[in-house]
Amino acid sequence: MTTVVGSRRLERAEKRVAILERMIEDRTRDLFLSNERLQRANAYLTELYSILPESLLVVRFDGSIRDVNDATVELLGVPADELVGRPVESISARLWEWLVSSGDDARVDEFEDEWQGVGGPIPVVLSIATASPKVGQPIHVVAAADQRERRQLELELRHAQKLESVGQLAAGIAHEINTPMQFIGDNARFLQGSFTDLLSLVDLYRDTLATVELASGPRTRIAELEDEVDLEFLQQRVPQAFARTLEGVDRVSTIVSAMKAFAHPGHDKVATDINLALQTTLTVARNEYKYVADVVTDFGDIPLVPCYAGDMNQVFLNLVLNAAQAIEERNVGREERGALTLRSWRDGEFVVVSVSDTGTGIPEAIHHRLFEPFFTTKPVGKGTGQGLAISYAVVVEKHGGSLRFETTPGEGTTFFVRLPIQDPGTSLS
Amino acid sequence: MKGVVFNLLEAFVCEGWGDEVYEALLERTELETQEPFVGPGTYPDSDLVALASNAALMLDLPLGAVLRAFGEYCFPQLAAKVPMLVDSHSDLISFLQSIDSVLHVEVRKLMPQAVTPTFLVDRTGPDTARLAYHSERRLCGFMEGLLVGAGRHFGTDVEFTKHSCMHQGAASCEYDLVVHVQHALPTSIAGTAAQG
Repeated sequence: MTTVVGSRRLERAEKRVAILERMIEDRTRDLFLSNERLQRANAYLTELYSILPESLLVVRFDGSIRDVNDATVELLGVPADELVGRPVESISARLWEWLVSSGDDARVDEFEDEWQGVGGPIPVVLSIATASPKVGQPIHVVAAADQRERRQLELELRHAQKLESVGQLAAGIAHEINTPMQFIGDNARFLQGSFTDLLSLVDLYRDTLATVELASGPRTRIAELEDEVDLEFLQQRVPQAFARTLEGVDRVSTIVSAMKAFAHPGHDKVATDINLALQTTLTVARNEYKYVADVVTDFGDIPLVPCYAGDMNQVFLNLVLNAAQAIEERNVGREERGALTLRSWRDGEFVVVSVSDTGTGIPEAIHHRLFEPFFTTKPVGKGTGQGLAISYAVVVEKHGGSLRFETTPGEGTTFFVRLPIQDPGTSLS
Repeated sequence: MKGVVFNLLEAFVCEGWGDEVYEALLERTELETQEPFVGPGTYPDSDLVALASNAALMLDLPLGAVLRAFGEYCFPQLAAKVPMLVDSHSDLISFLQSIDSVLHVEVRKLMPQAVTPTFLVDRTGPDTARLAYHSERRLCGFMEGLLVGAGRHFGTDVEFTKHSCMHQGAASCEYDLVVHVQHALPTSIAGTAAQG
């Protein structure tokens, strides 16, 4: 009986071993597959976490940083291994104060803060959630959006509004100056003519005086008075003075006319003399390039082009100002002057304008960003980063043209504006 | 029911009454399961009830008493598998209160097919509690034995008064528990089973 029982138990034990082996194999396979799925999910989440454009900061309840993503590393300019474990207070004392006072179930959006990065304070807007995850200790999750570009934008907007006011003021002043300049010019020309006539009369008097008998008293008095007023000097210099006065009046009038033409808003497309627009631009911008560059113009015989004159003036001004600044930058500490060359020609159904400079050229690394809004290589307060972006929009979107450039770093850049002679809008209609 | 309970039943019978009795029990019991029970496997509840019922018949004991003795035998064996979930509690009632929210949760994590009973415990005083047990298996005798075994683990005796029973048509088996600090040394498992 005992032997039978023993052999049954042995047989059952052997079967159990076989069943367990099968189970272990099944479980091992399941484990392997689960592990693979887990690794894939983990890799996916890690990548997602890493490429998230917003900066993420995971903070333990004791205030130490538990984790950061790539965007945070880039924002603060500090390597991840130096951030992890560090007190969050070292990045923002205000954030830490808020986390301490907020309790275990806090949530907030639009929390304005300033983080301490390597390059100085960085304005950020935070979304904060405090959570007690199923696995691990309670944490604060902080998502930060960099506000530097927005602040810069606001700054530039204020700057642009100021410039617009100044522009309107300048246009108003130009209008007010125009009228007195006209009568100053007219009166100067009247005086110039009258003086020439008076000189002719004086010459006749003198010739006549030489041929007639006159008592010595009056003759002496005339000679003394001629000496006193320095008649020879007046005869020589007054016509020159009038000529220079009129030249000055002409220059002021040209500038005033250019400013008025430039500031004209132009709500509709009008047939525009592009060569005249280029000349106007050179007049308005003269102060920007006169100390650094010599201007060369080569304007071809081109037809009128339908365009928004005010907008195109702005485009040409942007290109001329950029060219002047590139030349100035290249020639810092050098005696030499650069060349600013404006050309125009007809190419089939298009008019092409080129603005060339002998400036610094544009590094290849930033070619693709050149027409991006708010992209600028100039220091804060110097450039709005809007010039080329606006120019691109005006030429391409408003006029159906094209704007491109050729550049050689260290040698210079040429921008080409290509405008259709036939208004694309008109031809379509 | 998990295979570990069937294996404990085998050990319980073999230790208490000998291998021959268990072999005879297997031989006279019609089981749905045709292969030997292994710990990680899941088997029909009816097989456990059939084995326990036949054991009661063979030993000439009431089924309830057999199940209670078996439950009392099982507790230390089961507790030894998850000591961190048991020994983290300072008293029996605190442990009982964690069964549904911690222990059964962990069991389901390890064995997703496991069907765990509902075990609601309200502490009514420092040493008293109200307990409601519900399970499709209706193994209240086995649960009572586990309760006694758990009490012993914490060095206490548990006195319970049953107010309702699923076997009498109630939705759950409800008990009032009173916990007494144990003065006598625990009796041996085999002794308890033999007495039961």
